[in-house]
Amino acid sequence: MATPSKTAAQQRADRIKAYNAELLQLAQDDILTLTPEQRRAVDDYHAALLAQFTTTYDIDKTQHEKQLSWGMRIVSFLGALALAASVFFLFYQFWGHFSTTVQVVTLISAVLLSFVATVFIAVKDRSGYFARLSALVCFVCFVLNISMLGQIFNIAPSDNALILWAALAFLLAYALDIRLLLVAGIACLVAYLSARVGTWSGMYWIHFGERPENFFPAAALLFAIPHVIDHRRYTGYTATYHVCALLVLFIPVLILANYGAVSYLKFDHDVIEGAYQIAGFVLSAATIALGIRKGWGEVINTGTVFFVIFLYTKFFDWWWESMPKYLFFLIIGLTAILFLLILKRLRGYGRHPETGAMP
Amino acid sequence: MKRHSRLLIAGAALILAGNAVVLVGVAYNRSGEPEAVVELSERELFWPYNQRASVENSGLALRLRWRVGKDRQSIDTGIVLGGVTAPWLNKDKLAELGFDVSVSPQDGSATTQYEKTLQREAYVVLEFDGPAYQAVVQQRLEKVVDAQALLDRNPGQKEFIERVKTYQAQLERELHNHSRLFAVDLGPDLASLRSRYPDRASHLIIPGQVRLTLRNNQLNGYITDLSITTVNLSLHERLAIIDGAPGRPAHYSVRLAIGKRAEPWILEARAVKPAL
Repeated sequence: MATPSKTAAQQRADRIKAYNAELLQLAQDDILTLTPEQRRAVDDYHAALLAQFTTTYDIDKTQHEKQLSWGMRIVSFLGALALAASVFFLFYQFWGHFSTTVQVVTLISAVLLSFVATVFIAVKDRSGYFARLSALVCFVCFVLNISMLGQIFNIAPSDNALILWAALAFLLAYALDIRLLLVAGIACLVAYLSARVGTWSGMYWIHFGERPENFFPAAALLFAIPHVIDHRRYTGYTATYHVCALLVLFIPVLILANYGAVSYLKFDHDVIEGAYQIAGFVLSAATIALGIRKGWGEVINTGTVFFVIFLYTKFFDWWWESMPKYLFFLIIGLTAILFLLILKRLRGYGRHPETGAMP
Repeated sequence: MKRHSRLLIAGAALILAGNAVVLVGVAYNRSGEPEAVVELSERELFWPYNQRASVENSGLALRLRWRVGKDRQSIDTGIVLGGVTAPWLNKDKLAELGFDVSVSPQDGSATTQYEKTLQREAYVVLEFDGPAYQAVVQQRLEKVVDAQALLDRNPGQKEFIERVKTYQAQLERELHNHSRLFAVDLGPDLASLRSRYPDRASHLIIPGQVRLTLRNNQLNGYITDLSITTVNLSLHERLAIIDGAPGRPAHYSVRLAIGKRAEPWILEARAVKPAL
């Protein structure tokens, strides 16, 4: 059996637990009872699987362990942020007392040592929490490394640093199954691509955020990545790319739908805003439809959220000033109920009419 | 274990390669003859006041101060705040930088056309202690002379006494405090600018950003900022400037070089004893 990621192993363990609970219920309802031999064979198989997962990944076997794991994740994240901030301020506190050579050596050594420590911890730490913490600190050290070299040597700001940071973030994310670093890598990549797109118009790269349309090519690329490169080994990564791509698409559309002055298009602002409002509705509806067709829950949810946002911003534009507030919020509430009914209908779409099973 | 060995190699290679790219770029910038070498003082490379920040940040960077002739704000205050325009930053200069200025400012579509235009990068020529600075000094001197003449015709009048004092103070600041670096030109290409301003001891060429605005049916260019606004001071250079004296140093001299990538570095820094 191919070695799964920790996430995939945890999902398998959860399915085994659910299976055992359902089997017990079926036996109690006199629907199905396995023979002792069958029961023993399944139990032995599951026991060996769970033992392997526990040894390799330190997965959660009970609900109690699962709840504690969430706490450990949060603590690990906060601890990583705090340690990273500590490294950052530590360097700023003392760097002025060092010669240039010592500064450069310290910066490079900090990244290399934190990276080696991360790999070492990843080998020893089955749970992955400490490796995650160390990897985040390593990434921050690298960001500090490159940006401080820029300050020390008076280097003009360049978007090339973003690609370096993205590369390390992706390396750590894929090697150690750390989705937070995947998001960090995606953020750096999006910034780099948007800056490059912005420079095509002759603009100085640092102002890429002033034209939201610069983000559209990056959104398209992000959405395509998991379908061009096989991500089946990386549980949850495809969904992460999808959600990030949709955020990178919809947030600029939302901004342009409300503030046409920042568009590249040279039309009247009202026309631009109207066009992007229509685009927002069409794109979010198309996203929901795509998500239903492909079975991508995260795409459906993201599309739904933005469809609702676009709708509520339109309600605000039409009625906030002219309508009594109680009536305005009543309409918002009734619209939410309508959405619930529509989504409930969509949820049942495609089910077998008699069995209720999905195809 | 093999997987982690590969990760170790890949990560170390990436980190070292990234740093190598940066450091090779620095070496290239500083290789060969500098593009320019100018001796500046505390008037052009300003030692920051912010003592509170220095507790958390022990590093120090000198702030580059520059001005533009005929810009009232930078002439009076000695620094550029929030962008500056100049009479020579006209429509032709903007077109040279690559801005599309084909639509007439009087045209109805001009506002829509020009408000969308984003900032572009350009090389800015900074002249040190040259005709632009001398013109400002002359202007200040003439004001003092005129004010004195008025006072001579109206002796004892408080208003004219105050005016002479004000203009004298302005002249003093101009002679001893304000920056002698003036932006006198800009262009898209460093080499062609250098051929126009061949004196490397008095003209620095540094990248900056320019934006275009339409005001009163007229197109104007603004230099919004330079790409490099501070110059890092190493420990050795800081000690040389401080020279054992406590507190913020009053007078110092810095030989600043500009390299092939138009990035600056300090060749030499030293304390200067003020003339008695």
